[in-house]
Amino acid sequence: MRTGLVPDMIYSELEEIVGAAYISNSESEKLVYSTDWFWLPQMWLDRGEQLRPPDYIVRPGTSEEIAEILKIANSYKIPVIPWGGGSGSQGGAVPIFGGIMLDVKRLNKVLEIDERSLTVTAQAGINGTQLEWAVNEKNLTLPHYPASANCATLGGYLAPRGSGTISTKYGKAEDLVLSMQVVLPNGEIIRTPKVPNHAGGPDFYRLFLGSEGTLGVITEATMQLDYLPEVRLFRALLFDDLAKALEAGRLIVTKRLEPTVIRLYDQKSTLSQVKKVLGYAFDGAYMVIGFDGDPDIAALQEQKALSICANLGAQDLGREPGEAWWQHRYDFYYPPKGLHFPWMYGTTESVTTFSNIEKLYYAQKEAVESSYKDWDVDYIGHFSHWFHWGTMVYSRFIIKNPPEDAHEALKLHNRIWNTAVTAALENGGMVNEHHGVGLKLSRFMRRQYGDAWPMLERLKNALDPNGIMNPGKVGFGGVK
Amino acid sequence: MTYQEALETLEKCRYCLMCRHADPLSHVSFNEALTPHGIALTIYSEHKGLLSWNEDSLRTVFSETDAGVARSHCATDQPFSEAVSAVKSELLSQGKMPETVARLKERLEQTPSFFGDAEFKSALEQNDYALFISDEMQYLWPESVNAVNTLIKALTLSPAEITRGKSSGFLALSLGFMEQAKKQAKQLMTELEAVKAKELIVLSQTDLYTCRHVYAERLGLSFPEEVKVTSLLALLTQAYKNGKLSFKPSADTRPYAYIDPSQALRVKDFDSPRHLLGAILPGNQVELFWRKERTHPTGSGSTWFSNPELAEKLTRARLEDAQKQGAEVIYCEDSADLSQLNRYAADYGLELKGLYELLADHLG
Ligand SMILES: Cc1cc2nc3c(=O)[nH]c(=O)nc-3n(C[C@H](O)[C@H](O)[C@H](O)COP(=O)(O)OP(=O)(O)OC[C@H]3O[C@@H](n4cnc5c(N)ncnc54)[C@H](O)[C@@H]3O)c2cc1C
Ligand code: SF4
Repeated sequence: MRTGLVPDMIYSELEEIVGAAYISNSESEKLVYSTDWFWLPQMWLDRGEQLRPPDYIVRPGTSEEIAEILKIANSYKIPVIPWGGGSGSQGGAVPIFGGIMLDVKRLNKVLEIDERSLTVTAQAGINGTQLEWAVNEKNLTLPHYPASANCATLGGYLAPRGSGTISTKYGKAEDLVLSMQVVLPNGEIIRTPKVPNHAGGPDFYRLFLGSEGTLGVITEATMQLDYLPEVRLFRALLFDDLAKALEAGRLIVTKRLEPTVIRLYDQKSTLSQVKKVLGYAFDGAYMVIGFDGDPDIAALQEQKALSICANLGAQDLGREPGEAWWQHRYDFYYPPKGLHFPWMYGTTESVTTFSNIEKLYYAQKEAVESSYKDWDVDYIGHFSHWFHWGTMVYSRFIIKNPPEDAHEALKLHNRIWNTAVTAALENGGMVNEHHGVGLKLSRFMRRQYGDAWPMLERLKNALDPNGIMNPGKVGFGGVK
Repeated sequence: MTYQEALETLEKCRYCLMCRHADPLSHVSFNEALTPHGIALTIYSEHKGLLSWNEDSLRTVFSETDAGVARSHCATDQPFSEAVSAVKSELLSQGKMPETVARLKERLEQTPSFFGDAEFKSALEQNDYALFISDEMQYLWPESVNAVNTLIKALTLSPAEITRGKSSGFLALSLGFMEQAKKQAKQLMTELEAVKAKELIVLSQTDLYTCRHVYAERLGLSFPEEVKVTSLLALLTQAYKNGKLSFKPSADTRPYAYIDPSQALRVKDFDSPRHLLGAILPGNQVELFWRKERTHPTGSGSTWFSNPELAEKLTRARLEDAQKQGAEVIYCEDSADLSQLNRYAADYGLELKGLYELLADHLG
């Protein structure tokens, strides 16, 4: 706890940089910025418990202002937490040690749309949907469609390595970025090379993808665009066996039929989620496949994919349930159809190769269901982001009657995560695929990276010797 | 909606961020606390004992005008506007309000309008048509009154004026003064009944929304079902399309933009004004980025009273948008918006014109 003159000193120095209108330490603002979308801090507030708020909220308008703020943070050795939309589910933007909440949303300009190269350069605080509206005016799209586009920022897409609904064809946010401007922890402003696919030395820009504000602040990014597709075709299928459905997905991607979407719900998800949101009572594994672009090519790709599915015994449910899924694809996440308090829940998504995916899914399911039977835990999953070599399982645990006491609830929550992540790591998976690490998975980083972890720590120490950048996240420690 | 019912909605908004992309307050303030999520979390946190009501937290809640944009973009149709009004009303009943609103309360208790107190006596003779010229038009943009009368004459109508120079009650409602809002609404409805009109002509989208929806749905009053509420712009568009009305093209070739009024999302008649403008000024219309379904308020509503700095930011954002799109002239028909835009339009080299005046001047 800082007492005496120092807080006022820091406040006045920060105010000097951003101006009085863009700094605050009001109680209500501090409370709102004390939590992102992570279940734990949200639960904490829900149970009437106090969270550690940030000490100052600053809203810089330029990279240069950010650089100056970081210099102040270094001189006082106080944490800086970059905040985009606060929609992260991992606690990445939670100010666990207080400090400066660096809300980057004022950096919200579209700087250039290059209609020939199909790229957009924008500031990192721009809201995802607003950026999409801007490129749509030119008949273009940024093909990163996370369910959180309405609330997340461009920087928030990149910092935790997010993935959108159509990533199977277009790639994750990290695959769409060409270059970035980053303010390093010591206040230096750097720009990564203009294009990524070169042989002029290591692609160090990838270091910032997944750094979640621990290695610097992303202030600008150039992203790849696509033309808005002429058609989008969706179709739903029902498999009586999850293994056959996974095989269908594997064949569709490995034969390079370029699906926009393959969304495969396990039987339990089909019975609960699909029924609740879309109203269909299907018994089996419900799959939606989508193709887009040129009408003739998309139709042909769809036809080939349908024939793969038919050979594996799928029932073709037609277009309507596929299109309904596309229309309502985000309703799965919003109130009142999404998850809500007082339930306890978590998305233990993981990614692995086709050879391991079934093993991982069943191991995690068995571990969570058997260990937390007494809590009547539900484990549901779907497979949604497919790569040429494997896929990810977006699995969720849900407990409808968790402990009322916040501290007990926290313990149970963390135990379930230990179980689920251990099952993923032991079966060839990663701690997750697209939500990032944040606070939630920080303790698993050393285990995930094994021998490589000390190298990452050395890099962190070299870039941020005082440890001011988002301390306690992504496996790194606190301020030194 | 009761305070308790409001909390049920706010419980959902507290944990939802899904109208952020369209949210005007955070777009100009960049402040998380001023999003529907932030406002809901603030109210909810007070309810949970994590915050107390003070000037700062009250200001957060009262900065929200009427959340029309959030309401319109809500992913799951939550009545966020109604919930915020209910909370404001509860706070006012406990004497809790920011200083700016406290000053207004006193004023409201003394005069029936925020903007002026001249008395206009309506004859209240029986007529199939009634016309409502609000206090906003009367006091904030009076040059529209004559234009409106000219246009109505051109439609060969001679409606009975009701509650001229008074408020429909919307502004009071959006500040949480429910009783005042009801009083103003009842006065309008009483005069409407007195003239036995079958159709009420209103001059702004706010009044259209208020008469069509607010009275019944939010104030619990029974607006006479048999009375059709129509906007003058819709009547003019219809007459123009039917060939009953014509306009002379203007010689002005400067690029211009139409500013969708603050409550446009409540009614969603985006086409009528554009159609009429196109009749007079074909070919040189530019569109704002923040237009139609994603339009933002101009800062003219209750925010102007409860948080003037924020209102100014909203206004400037609209003007900046117009300037950026290359407009030299901007048009709007809403008097409150016109008067608000007028405060700063010159800073952006923009000429501001009332749409009714343009239409009246170019009648064929
Ligand atoms: C309803 C809902 C649905 C979601 N669906 C998806 C989905 O489909 N796909 C997906 O990938 N995610 C999803 N998420 C998770 C989340 O929205 C994403 O991770 C999102 O990209 C985070 O963006 P943000 O701007 O809100 O970041 P924040 O939550 O503000 O920050 C996330 C992390 O990045 C850091 N950070 C933010 N901006 C910067 C910057 N400019 N420079 C450096 N570090 C920065 C923060 O410090 C934090 O560690 C969902 C979340 C919600 C609420
Ligand atoms: S108004 Fe709707 S979209 Fe906005 S926060 Fe509330 S529930 Fe979410």
